[in-house]
Amino acid sequence: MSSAAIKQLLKTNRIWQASEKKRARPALSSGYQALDDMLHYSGWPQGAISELLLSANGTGELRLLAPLMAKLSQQSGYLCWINPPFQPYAPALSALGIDINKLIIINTRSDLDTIWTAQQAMNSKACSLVLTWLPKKNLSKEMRKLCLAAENSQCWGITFRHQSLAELSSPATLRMLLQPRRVSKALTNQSFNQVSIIKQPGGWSGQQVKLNLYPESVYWTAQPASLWPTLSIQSKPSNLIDRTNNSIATSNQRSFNQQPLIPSLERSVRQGKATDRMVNGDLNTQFTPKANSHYPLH
Amino acid sequence: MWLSIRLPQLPLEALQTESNQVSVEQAQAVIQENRILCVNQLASQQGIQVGQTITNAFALCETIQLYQRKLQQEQQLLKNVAILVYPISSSVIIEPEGIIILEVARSLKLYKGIDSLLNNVRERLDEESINYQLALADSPTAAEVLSFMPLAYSMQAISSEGQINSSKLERILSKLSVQSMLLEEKIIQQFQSVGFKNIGQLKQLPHSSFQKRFGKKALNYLLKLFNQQADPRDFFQPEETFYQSLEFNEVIHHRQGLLFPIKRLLKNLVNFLHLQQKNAQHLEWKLFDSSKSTLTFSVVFSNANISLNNYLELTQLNLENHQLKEPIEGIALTAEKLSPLDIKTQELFEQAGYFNSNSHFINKIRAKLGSNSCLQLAQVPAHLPEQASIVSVDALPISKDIENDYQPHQPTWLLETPKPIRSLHQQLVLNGKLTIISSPQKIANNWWDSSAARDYYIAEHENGSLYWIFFDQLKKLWFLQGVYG
Repeated sequence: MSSAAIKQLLKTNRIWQASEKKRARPALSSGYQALDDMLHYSGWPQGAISELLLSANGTGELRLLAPLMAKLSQQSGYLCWINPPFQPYAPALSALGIDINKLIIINTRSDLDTIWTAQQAMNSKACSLVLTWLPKKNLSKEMRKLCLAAENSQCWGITFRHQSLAELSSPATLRMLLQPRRVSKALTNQSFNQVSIIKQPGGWSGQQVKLNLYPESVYWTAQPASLWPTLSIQSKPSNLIDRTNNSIATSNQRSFNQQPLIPSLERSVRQGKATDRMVNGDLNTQFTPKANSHYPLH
Repeated sequence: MWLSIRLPQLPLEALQTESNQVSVEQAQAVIQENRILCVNQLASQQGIQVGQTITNAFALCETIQLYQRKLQQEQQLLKNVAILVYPISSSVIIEPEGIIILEVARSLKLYKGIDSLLNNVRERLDEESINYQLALADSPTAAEVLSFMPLAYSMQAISSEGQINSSKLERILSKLSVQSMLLEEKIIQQFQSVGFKNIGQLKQLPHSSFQKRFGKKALNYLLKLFNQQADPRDFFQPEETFYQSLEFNEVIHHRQGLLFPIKRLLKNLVNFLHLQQKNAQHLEWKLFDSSKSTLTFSVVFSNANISLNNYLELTQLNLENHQLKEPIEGIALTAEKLSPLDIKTQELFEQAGYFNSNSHFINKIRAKLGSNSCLQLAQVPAHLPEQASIVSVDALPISKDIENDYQPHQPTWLLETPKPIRSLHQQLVLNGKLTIISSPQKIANNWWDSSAARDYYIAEHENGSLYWIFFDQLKKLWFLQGVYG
């Protein structure tokens, strides 16, 4: 390769050289000092895709992004949530300082639509932040499209993917794995979510940091199981199973119309043969938040 | 002072629905009652003249394309031209034969003289790619007659100050032949049979004998022509809503072919909206196919500016969702429920952010994924969590300063309907064991709606996720309400 071609490549800002000093790359603080310290550009990179790898939806991913969302919602531009797994809860988001009037929630029907929508949102230059929940699939070509769109529009792009994809390569600029909350007995019952950086711009990766995403949890006081208000129904187990079964059926019909109640469960419950394992196992297949959701909660 | 705009090619131009180029490459003519009514340049070079029969036309040029006259489309085109020039003067008269007359005396000061006013008119008309001829006179009737002459002819009567010199105007009108008068053929023949050649000779006759010989109608016309009698006309009033349709000369088989007629209708709509200072948020398209069925689709906009490109792009996106089963014969566009254009005031020294607030991308996504794909979130004062947060398709009123029952430690994800949790053998089970890690928070007495009594707890799942669960005191059951994201 001629030196002119190499120079041309270096100009595009896509190749990082260890010898070169930190090039200014716009980034916005994550709001967590410990995380900022680990990131070479001290925050979420602008004009790039950051990938968050999760074991399940609802492991603190919104808490991690809340300071970024709060800051961007005070500026011009919309915050787009594409294909979120559940419905966002407005009062809680407001309480985190996020202007909910800036939120646009878009539900898509296919992966192709999801990518197209994310591209449209980014390329419109009207969205400062685009959150995309992606299915548990190797979508490196599609991710590449999103990276180009984010670079073109200089917005913050965040994609949520399953942690099993951590081993696969991804064109995302920043990749991190967010692990579920663990209570540390040593540190007076404080809880931590561990964040492992798999890839990051501007230098080496592999850092790990523990973040306290729920600082209020120290005020939570656990109660022994004997105090839970369950005893009253424990006395009538047969009644309970029938009623629970009914209410599951109705809630299923409401939330995912296409999904029929699994007949085996119904039959066995009617015969009074429901066992712990069975109920648990059958619910496992049903407790997918949406019919087209990408991966089960657990 | 009256300005007349004559569209000599009106019947042909009203038919041009498919493409712009066709007219130039081929001899074309419009027929009415088996006689040629209007010819294009190529046809007239072949010797085809207005009034010839179809057989004669084919004898002169084998390849000529003949079209039936479409009066309704002609009137539509005239109306569109009237809308184009309406901003110049509100007194606009449409003559169905293809002449538009404007009263311009009151606009002269605004446009700083007749020359710049004429230039403005030309600029507006050139956009429409139509042929036109202009003329100026001091009465509508005279302007009509003079529009059959080049503009330079009527400009002879305009003084250097830009005013009409009535004696000069009288002179140039007198020079015109009697045939140029827009009167019935029979009366014109009467004039000619007596030996009158130009209008000036008619004018010299005493009025009483003129009326005796040629009738009252002819006298009134003559007086109006020389501005000696009042000339009341009906002025054009723009309509409140927009409806226009086009009928194609040849059927269209593919979506790409619809692009030109769609663009043409949208262009008319944009002119209409600019004139009304209104904003359309809902367009309805109708495609008429050859099996007499109609394909209807609507395009919805959320942003408030008039933009041809936006309209065109979204119409195309919507059209892609529909399958054309039969060839399309015609197209119609309706825009009702127009809302006033909201004029935004912007601060002069506003801190401009990097990202704009253009919601056009939402329109685009809605056009492709359906109107209920994009939702907005809002907060409402309510006791029950599932009622305190709502998602809606419409732009919601800005929810600010809502005194909510918000308690700290509520989750960011909410289930639309609470999901039952099994409790077996003193264990809460939902794909794994749940352990309650907080003290209860009670929400009760929603008595005016549906009564509720709930004890809310934060529960930790065995995999580390945090759930917001409640025990329904009325149903005596556990439910999952939300997830801490």
